Amino acid sequence: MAESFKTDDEQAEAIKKWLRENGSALLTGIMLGLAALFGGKAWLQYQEQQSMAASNLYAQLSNAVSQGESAVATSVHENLLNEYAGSSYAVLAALQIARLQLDEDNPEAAQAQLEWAYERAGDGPLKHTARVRLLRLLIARDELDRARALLDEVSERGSYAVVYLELEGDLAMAHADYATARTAYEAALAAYPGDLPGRSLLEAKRDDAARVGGEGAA
Amino acid sequence: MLQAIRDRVTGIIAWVIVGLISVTFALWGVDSYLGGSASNYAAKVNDTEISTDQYRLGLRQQANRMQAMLGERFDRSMLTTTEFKRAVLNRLVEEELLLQAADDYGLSISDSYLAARIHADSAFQTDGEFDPERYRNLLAQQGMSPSLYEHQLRRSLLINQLISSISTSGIVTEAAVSQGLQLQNQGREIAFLQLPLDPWLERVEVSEDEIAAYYEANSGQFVEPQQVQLKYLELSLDDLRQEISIDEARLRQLYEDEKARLAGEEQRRARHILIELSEGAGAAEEAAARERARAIHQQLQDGADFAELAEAESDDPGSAAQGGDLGFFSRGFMVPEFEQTAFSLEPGRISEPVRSPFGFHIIEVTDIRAKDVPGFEEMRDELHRRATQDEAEQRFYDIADRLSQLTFEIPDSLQPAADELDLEIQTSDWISESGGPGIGQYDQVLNAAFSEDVLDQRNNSQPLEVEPNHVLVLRVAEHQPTRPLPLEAVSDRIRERVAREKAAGQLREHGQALLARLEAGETTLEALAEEASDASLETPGAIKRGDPGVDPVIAARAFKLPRHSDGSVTRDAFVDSRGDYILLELRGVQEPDLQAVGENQRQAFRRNLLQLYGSVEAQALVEQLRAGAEIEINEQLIED
Repeated sequence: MAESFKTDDEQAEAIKKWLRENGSALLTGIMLGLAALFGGKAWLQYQEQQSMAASNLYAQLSNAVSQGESAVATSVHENLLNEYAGSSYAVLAALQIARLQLDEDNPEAAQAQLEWAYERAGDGPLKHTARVRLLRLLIARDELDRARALLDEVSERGSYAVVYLELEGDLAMAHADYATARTAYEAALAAYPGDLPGRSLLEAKRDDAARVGGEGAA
Repeated sequence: MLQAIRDRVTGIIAWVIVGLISVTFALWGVDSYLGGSASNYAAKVNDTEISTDQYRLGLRQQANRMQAMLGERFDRSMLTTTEFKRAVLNRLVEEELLLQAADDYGLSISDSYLAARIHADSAFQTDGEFDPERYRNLLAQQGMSPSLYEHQLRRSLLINQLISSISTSGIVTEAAVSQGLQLQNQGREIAFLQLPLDPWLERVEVSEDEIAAYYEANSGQFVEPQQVQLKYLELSLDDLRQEISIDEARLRQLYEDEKARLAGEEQRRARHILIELSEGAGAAEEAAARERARAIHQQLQDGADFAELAEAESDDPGSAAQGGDLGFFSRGFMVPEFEQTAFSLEPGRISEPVRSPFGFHIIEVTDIRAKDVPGFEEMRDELHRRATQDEAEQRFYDIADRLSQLTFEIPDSLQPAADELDLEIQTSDWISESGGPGIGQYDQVLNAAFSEDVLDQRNNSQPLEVEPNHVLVLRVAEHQPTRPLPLEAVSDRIRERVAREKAAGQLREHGQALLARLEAGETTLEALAEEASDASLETPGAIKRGDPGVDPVIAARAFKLPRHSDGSVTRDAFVDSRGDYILLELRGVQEPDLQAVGENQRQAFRRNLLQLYGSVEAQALVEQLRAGAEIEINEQLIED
């Protein structure tokens, strides 16, 4: 393109001409670009504000739960669900409320909260957390088939293997299947992290599962 | 053409274009600033770097925590181990993982929450109120700006929000509590026959050939450990104290200093009349106040009663009712203008009006409580002791400093330091790595004496502060390497060991034969106890886990024994902690009555279980994050 111009004047004239013809399109493009940029930024800011507002509500809720202020916790929980049901705070809140309800001897409600959290926990570690808790409750409530199904849903146990193995043992004990229980507890012990307490309880469970004679003999 | 554009950048449009171009470059620049330099990081977690500065800060903070925790037992050499460095870096990586997870989950900490936390921190409060100045000053003392502190606090609050959500909300069911308590309180009814080892030990014979064979097979076990004999220079404050003499003139001087100091502690009692003058008062008001003060002063000169006048005229509400009396005070309690007059005025004299920030004071000193200054002779011993201590410390630090310098600069001898500092080179006993007499009792001495630098290179050690104000520098004089012990020296030990092994083997065989008879139903523990004179039958009844009344090996085995589903006896045979052979029968399992377990115990167990589930699940979460992340560790930094 450059070689076709003879002088700088001609070049300047050509640029001016181009700008006259395309200037408004260029300007529109720039405006659109800026709009997208600032719009995106505004969107991020909006999201951050939402997150912070949800965070404040959640802080109130977990404070109320730790103080045992059930009525406050419940009403804050309602607010949180009304405004930010899609946030991770809603999942964390459900875990807290479930614990509160169990403390208040209402396992049905606690189970509903845990099911809710489990459905919405995504794929990460929170999913495992919700599932592990749901399993503990299901086994205690003798919903053994649902517990079995839930355990079978786990594709990758990862670092939660120890917890799942212990739950496998608990489930087998609930069926009075001592041999399976003992194997599961044994495997959990083998994978148990060395620096955590609780090993002795697990050992006691394993030893208690040792039976001879009759059905389910080890 | 570019030349042409540059020549013609005059129009507004041209400037706009240049502006747009420069914005682009400016934004590009920001990115590389944020990213930091690529090569210099301690670890990298999914493209986020943990800088070497953060790592060093982490090392320092962890060192401080350990020092606070261990106190006297804190050993600075712990800080240079790779384990320590790795643990610190690991922790930083974990924090970063949790931070990223919190971010992925869309968690955040709002400004208002952050502010509330800072305002609620009692360290930043004065009289229960948040004090911004105190806040800035405290942070400045730690070398931190408020924005850095707030950034760090926000990080840790965010991490805490995620992790404590998990660790406090564990699901502990009544069934789990009952099951745990049941296991904890289960009783197991046992009986066992104890077959002692001693009679077998007496009967067993060990030949010289067996001893020689054992010596050959296990020669590595029979060695004398390496030993060193050390030469060392010793410097202690206690020794130096003996050498110091303080002359009379020095003691006199110290006494004078002390007297002056005590005089400063004099207390005076005064009363005053205040003519208040507010801070922003103009010249006219001041003149009026001065005039009023003068008038009062004149009345006092004319014999008016101070107390009555104070009550009537003084603007100091605190003292007016007491006739102006302020009680006793020392230097440093009153505003300077007031203090100067109060501490120079003779008792009973009334001062001219004195101007202070409060207004005009008319002051009278009513009493002086002088600090008693003891006589020279009375203080002599105390002064002598103090002077000796100061002098000895001064000399200790000077000599220790020089000692350190000389023994470092001339690393192959202690002689020059001994000569110059007039110290005696002493020689230790033989010392092994597990210790020895004299200076062999100090861990620092053992670590230094067997270190590569001192033992292999034969250099002087660094100065070792074995006790407060007690320093040693040592070098190795003689080294006795590890050497095998001759057979004669260890044959008794070997005889004992072989005898024990043989006796234990025979006892086990005997015990196994008895167990087989029991299992076959041919006999009972009771019958066996009758049969054998040295076997004893123990029937402790139902024992609990870890029952203190039973040998721990037996108690543990009792709870490991499988129970029979129809309630019949199960058996085990093993060696207990004394070496005796045990034939154990589990005769019944008693499930505890959970109604009898108190509510307190139940609550305590529930709390323990909640905490346990919390820490297990929190750890699993961190490990899950770690497994899903790309983590690079700068190994070189840890090895250094």
